[in-house]
Amino acid sequence: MSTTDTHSQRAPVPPGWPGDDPTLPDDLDVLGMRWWWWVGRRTRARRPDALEGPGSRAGAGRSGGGRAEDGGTGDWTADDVVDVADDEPDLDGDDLGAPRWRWADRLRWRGAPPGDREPPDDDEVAAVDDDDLVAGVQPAGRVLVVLVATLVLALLVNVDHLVARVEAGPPSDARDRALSVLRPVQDVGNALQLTRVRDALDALRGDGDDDRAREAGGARGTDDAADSTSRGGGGDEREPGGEEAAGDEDGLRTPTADDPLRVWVGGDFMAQAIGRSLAAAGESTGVVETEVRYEAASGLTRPDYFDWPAAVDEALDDHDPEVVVLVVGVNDAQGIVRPDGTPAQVDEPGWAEEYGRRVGELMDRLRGDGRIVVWIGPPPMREPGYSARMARVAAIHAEQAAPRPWVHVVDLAQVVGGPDGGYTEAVADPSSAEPVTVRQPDGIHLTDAGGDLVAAHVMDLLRTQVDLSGGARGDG
Amino acid sequence: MQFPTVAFAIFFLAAFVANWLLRPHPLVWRATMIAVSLYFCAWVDVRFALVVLGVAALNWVAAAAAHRAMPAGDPTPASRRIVRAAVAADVAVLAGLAYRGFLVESVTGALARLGWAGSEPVVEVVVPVGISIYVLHAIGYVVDVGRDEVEPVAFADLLLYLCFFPHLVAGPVVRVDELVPQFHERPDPRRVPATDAFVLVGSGLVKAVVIAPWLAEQLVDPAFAAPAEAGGLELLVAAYGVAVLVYAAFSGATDIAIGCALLLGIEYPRAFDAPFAALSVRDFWDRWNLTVSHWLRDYVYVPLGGSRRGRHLRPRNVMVTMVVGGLWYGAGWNFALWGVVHGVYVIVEQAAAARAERREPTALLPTALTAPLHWFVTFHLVCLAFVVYRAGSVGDAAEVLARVATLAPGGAGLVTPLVLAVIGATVASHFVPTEVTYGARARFSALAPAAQVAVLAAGLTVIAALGPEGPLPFGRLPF
Repeated sequence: MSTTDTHSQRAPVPPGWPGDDPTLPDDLDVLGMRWWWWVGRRTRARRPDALEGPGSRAGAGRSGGGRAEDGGTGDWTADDVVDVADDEPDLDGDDLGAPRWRWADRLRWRGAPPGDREPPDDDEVAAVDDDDLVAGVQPAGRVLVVLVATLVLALLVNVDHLVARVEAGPPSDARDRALSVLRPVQDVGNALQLTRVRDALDALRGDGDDDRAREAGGARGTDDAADSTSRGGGGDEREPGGEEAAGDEDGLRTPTADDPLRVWVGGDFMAQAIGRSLAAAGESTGVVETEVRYEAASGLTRPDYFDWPAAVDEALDDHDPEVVVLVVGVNDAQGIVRPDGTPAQVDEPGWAEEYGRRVGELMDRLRGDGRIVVWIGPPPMREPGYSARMARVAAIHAEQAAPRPWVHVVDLAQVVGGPDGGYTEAVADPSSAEPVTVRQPDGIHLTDAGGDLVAAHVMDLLRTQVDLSGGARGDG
Repeated sequence: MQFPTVAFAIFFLAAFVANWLLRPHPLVWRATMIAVSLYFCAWVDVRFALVVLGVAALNWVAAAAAHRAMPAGDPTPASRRIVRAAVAADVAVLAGLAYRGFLVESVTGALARLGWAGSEPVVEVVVPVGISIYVLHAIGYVVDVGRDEVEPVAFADLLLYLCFFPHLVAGPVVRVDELVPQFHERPDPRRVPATDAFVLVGSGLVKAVVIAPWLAEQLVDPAFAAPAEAGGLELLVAAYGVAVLVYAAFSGATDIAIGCALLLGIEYPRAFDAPFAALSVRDFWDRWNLTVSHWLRDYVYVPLGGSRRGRHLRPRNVMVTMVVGGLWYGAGWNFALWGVVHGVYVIVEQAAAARAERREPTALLPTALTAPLHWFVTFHLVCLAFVVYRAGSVGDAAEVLARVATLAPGGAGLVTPLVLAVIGATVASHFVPTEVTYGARARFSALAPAAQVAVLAAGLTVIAALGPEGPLPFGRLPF
C-alpha cells in the first residue's frame, strides 16, 4: 500500500506555480514502510545498498549535504549517529550510497528493510542530538496509518461511553445514525474485551471520586441542579426500612387536593416520557403531586456515571414520596464492576449476580412506611440482540421484586409490546382500540403516546392501592 | 464542532488525506482547504460561513483599493481612509456578532438605572465560535497592506488565511506574512513532525479537557459561587486555580490547533511561553497568549502612538490596549476590568523601571533572592487580576479579595491534596525546560508504529476517562 502511484500520475504542475517545487521528486513515497516494520522491532539498521523500490531511486531530489561530500566508505559507525545531526537532511535515494545514514532517516524515509546490523542500544538512541528524531519526522502516509489505527483502537476501548453519550442526546436522525454505526463497534469492542480497559480505568477513578459523579449528575438537567455544589458522601449507609416500616398492609392515606399524594418519578431517558405523562395524569386527578427526575444514559451498572442509590436517598429526604416510580434498565446491559473491583461482562455469570444485588439493594432502599414502589423495567427493543439483553435485565428485576411485596413491577412488554411480548411500533389503544405509535423511529425510546399508555397503566395500578377520587380508601 | 470529539477526528482525518494528496496541485489544494474550513464553520452555523466569506470579500477589496491608492508605496490620505473604513466595518461585524449581547445588556442596564425600564430586548444572535480570530486576522491584513508591510494577496489566499480551520476556534492569531507564504510552499510529505504534533495535541487535550474542567468543577466554580462560605486560604487557592484554569483552557486549545496544523504541514507561532514563570507583569505579557498580545501591540498599541508620542500618552495607550485585550477574552465588564488591572500593573511597572534607571542601582536584597521575590510578587499580582476575571461582579471580586486579605475563617472543603497537586504541577511545569522531554520524544519516535498506536490510544483513553462527561466548556469561553 503506497501512494506512490497517485503522485506519479498527477498532472504536472505548470512551471512557475508555487507547487512546482523542483526539489521534490514526483513519486514521493509518503507511506514509507514495509509491513514487517509495523510489528517488528523498531530499529533495523539498513545498509544503503539494501534499499529497494522506485522511491529510493527516484527523482533528482534535493541535493543532500553532509557525508556525501565526505566520500565515505559505506561503513556505518556510531559516530555518524551523532555527527550527522548538523547535516542537511538527505531526502533522495541517490545520496544514500554514502555512509551518512542516520536513525532519523528511517522515520522519514523508506522504513527499515532488514539489514544485518544491530541497532545501537537505547541509551545511544536517546543521546542522539537529532532534531528530526525528537520531532518524530515521519512520512505523511505513516502518520495517517498511525492516526487511523490510534483512533480505531481508542474507539473500541471507549465505545461504551460513546454509546452512552450519544444515547443521552435528544432523539434525532443523526443520533440514530450514530448509534447504528456505534452499536456494531460496541459489539466488536466487547467481543475483543477492549472495553474492559476503560471499565478498569473508570473503576479506579470511581473509587475515590464518588462526590464528583454525584455532583456531575446533579448538574445535568435535573430539577434540583441548584444544589450541585453540595458535597458529601451520599448516605450509602442508609438502612433499609425496618420490618415495622414495611407495612404494605397499612395501605396509604386518602390524598386530598390540600394534601396530595406525593409521587416521585426517577430514571433514565425513558423516565422523561413516562414522567411527563404521569404528571399530567396525576394532575388530572387533582390529588396527585408529581416530581420527575431523569438522567439520560443512566442506570444501575454505572454508578460512576450516575449514582441512582444516592439520588434516590436525596429524593426520599427532600420529597418523602408516598409513591416512587423508578424507570431503569435500558442502559444496564453493559459491563459491571463488582465490589471487589473485578469487572464482569453481560454474558458472564457474575454479571447477573451483581446486577441483581444492586437492584435488590435499591428496592430495599426504597422501602418505606407504606410507600408503594412501581418499578418499570426496559421494554422490548427493535434490534433483536439488544432486545434479548433487555429481556434478561427485565427478568432480573422481576426476580428481585418477587420477595419484596412493596415493589410492583410493570412489564412494559405487556404494555407497549406486541401480542407475543416482542417489539412492535404501534399497539391498539385500550380505550379506543385505535392503533397508536408507541415507539420512536430509533426502535428504543417511547413516543409521547407510548408514555401516556404506560402512565395510564401505572395510574390503574395506583388506583388499586390508593383512593384517588378524594373519597374512600382503595382496597389495598 | 469541538476539537476533542469523534466527529472532529473523522473530519480531521479526511482533511489530512486531502491535504497531502492535493498539495502538489496548488489551486486544487487551496480550493479544497477552503471548502474544508468553510464546512468546519458551517458545522457550527451556516451563517458563520457566510460571514467569513463576507469579511474576506470586504477586506480583500479594501486592501486592493488601499494598495492602489498608494502608488509610491507610502500610505496616502486616501489609503488611510480606506483602511480605517475597512477596520471600522470589521469592528462592526465583531460588535454585531460576538459582542452584541454584551452591548445590548450594558445599554439596557444603563437605561434601566436611569429609570427607563423598557422591555428587555431579546438577543438571538448566534455567536459564531472564533469570530474574533478571523476578524483579528482581517484587520491585521488590511492594516498591513495599508502600511505597505505586505503585498495584497489573492482572494483565495486571504479567504484561507481567515478561515483555515485549525486556528478558527481559539487561535493562535497569525500574521498574514506568517501564514500565506506557507500556503505557497509545498511541505515535504515525507517530513511530518509527528511526535511534535502528537505531544502538542496530547498536552493540549490534557490541559483543555482534563485540567481546566476538573479545576472548574472541583474548586473554582464552587468557591466563586459562594465566596462567603469559603475560607480565606481556600479562596487564595481558588485564585491560583483560576489562573491555572484559564491558562489550561486557552493554551490547551491553541496547543491542539498548533499540533493539528503541524500535521498538515503548516507551522504556527508558539502562543504560550511558560507565563507563570514570569518575573514581572510585562514579562508575563511576553509569555501569555503571545499571538494575541502581539496583535494588540501591532494593531492597537502602535496605532495609538505606542511609547513614541511622549511619556504622558503612553499610560493611556497601555490602558486602552489592555482593556481591548481584556474584552477579547470575553464580552463582559469583568474582562474589561481585568484589562484595567493589568493596565495599572504595567503602567506602574514602567514608571518604576524608568525611575530605577535614573538612580544608582542599590542592592537591597542578595541577588539570589531577587528573582524568587519577583516571581512571587508577579505570580500573586497575576492571580489577583484573575480573581477579577472570574468574579461575577465587582462586589464578588471585592468580597473574595477581602476574605483572602483577612484570611477569613471557614471552609467548604474545596482544597484537597489533589487540587493542590494539580495547581502546583501546572505551575511547576513552567520551570521545566522543554529539552528535558527530548529523550522521551526521541524514544517515542523510534518506536515501531504499532507501539506508537498503543501508546497514543492509551493516552487518549486516559484523557477520555479523566475528562468530564458531556460537552466541554471550550474555546474562547472557558466558563
